[in-house]
Amino acid sequence: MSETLLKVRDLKKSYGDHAVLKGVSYDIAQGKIVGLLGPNGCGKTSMIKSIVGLINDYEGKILINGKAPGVESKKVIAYLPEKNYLPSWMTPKSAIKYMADFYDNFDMQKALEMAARFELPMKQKIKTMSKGQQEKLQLLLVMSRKADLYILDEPLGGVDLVSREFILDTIMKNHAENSTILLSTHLIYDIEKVLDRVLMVKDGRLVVNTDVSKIAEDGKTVEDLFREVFSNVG
Amino acid sequence: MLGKLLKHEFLATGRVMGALYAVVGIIMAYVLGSYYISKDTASTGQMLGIMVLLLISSCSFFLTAVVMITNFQKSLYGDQGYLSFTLPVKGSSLLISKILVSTVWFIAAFVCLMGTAAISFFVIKEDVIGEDTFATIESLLPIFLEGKSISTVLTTVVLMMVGYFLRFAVITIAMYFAISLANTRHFQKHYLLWTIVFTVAILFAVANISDIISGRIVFGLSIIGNKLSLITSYAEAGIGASYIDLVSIIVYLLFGVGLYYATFYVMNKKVNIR
Repeated sequence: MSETLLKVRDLKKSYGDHAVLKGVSYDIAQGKIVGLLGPNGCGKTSMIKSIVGLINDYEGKILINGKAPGVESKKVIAYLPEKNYLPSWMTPKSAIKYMADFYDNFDMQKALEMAARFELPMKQKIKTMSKGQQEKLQLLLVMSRKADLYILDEPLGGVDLVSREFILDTIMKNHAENSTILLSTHLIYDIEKVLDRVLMVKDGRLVVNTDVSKIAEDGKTVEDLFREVFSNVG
Repeated sequence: MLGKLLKHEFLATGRVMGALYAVVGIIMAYVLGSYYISKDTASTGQMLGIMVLLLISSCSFFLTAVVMITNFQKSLYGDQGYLSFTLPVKGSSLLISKILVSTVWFIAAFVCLMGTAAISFFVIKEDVIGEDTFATIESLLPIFLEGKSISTVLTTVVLMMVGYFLRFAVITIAMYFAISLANTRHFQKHYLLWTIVFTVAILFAVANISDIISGRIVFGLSIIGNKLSLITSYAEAGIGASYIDLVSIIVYLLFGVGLYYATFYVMNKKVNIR
């Protein structure tokens, strides 16, 4: 049996009186590709932000490789947020240098190769690049790391079908061997074929935590199960 | 990692601040260079240069504050916070790097102001009044230094500088605390307004508390005879003696430490990045 890489216990998070996570617990094993599924506003991003260390005022316990979120966990987590987080004055070249400076597991050669493949203008300022180019740059910065855990928050959101295939293909081809991927999305169809396990979050609670193979044994697809679980969610 | 953070912090802020001081350096070099080539009268170009220097140096503190506030807000509590807070560095290193870099730019603004004042004094005074500035300084210096050793004077100047730089650091930390507080849930909607309100309120409080305590407790250094001595009453220093107020330095230091920990706490526990 694979070792547990990520352990989440009774995770709760509120914004004022509004509880977005109401006691979520699960384990994720090393080497698995896990889909974190749920409609917008169900608490996926808050959960991810707690794991990567962007939210610290949560209740419960999070352990990555047995350690709470902190400097050590940040070394092994490669995180792709929904937003464009790079300073607008940077260029792809300076962004790559920046990541190489801070992450020992950043593969500069791989990043440069990917940038060439993506046809990114290396000396152009990010603010003058197209949205698609910016997304490709962020993706290559994440996938050029030999991380233990890749956390990708809605990487397929807001892009066309061809781009979604491209993004998914890049993720699958470039993640480190035996690494774990936690992929948050509400676009089930595109990712179903690559997932080992799914977590479904509804109203701040984990309502499904199962292997994709078990769903298949029941004669369903992940999308069928998703529709069942969220049928009454507008 | 602090070194890397400092490097990237200088790169991020240096685009504006570096360009500003490069312009200042070029104008200073032009004014001084052309002045020593033709010593008789200050040219229109020199006077124009001095006016630009005066304008830049009088705005430099404000500009530094604006650039530092904007950079802090963007890089920690804006979208770039997703990058900053997921770097494998301690939160304290993140904060310290920003405080150090900001303090350096405030010191640069101070140096710019002093440099501009010195150049203006040299060029304008000599041109308008017709005095030889160096000769004037040479004649005044012995009066100022009378009975004092050079090392005592230098120590005094260094201590005074440390006092000023400490104030710049505290101003920086106060700004960062104000920004952090303004980004908590209750104030986040109008964070810019609250940043200004909190900054002004904190600096007003720090300055006033420091003044009140300094007014009641005399504890400082003064040049008595030819050496720097610790004094606890103004009578010990004598009339007109230079006095380094250690009380205000200690008060500012305590405020600096307190505000640093408060900022660290708010940053880590109370702010949710947008």
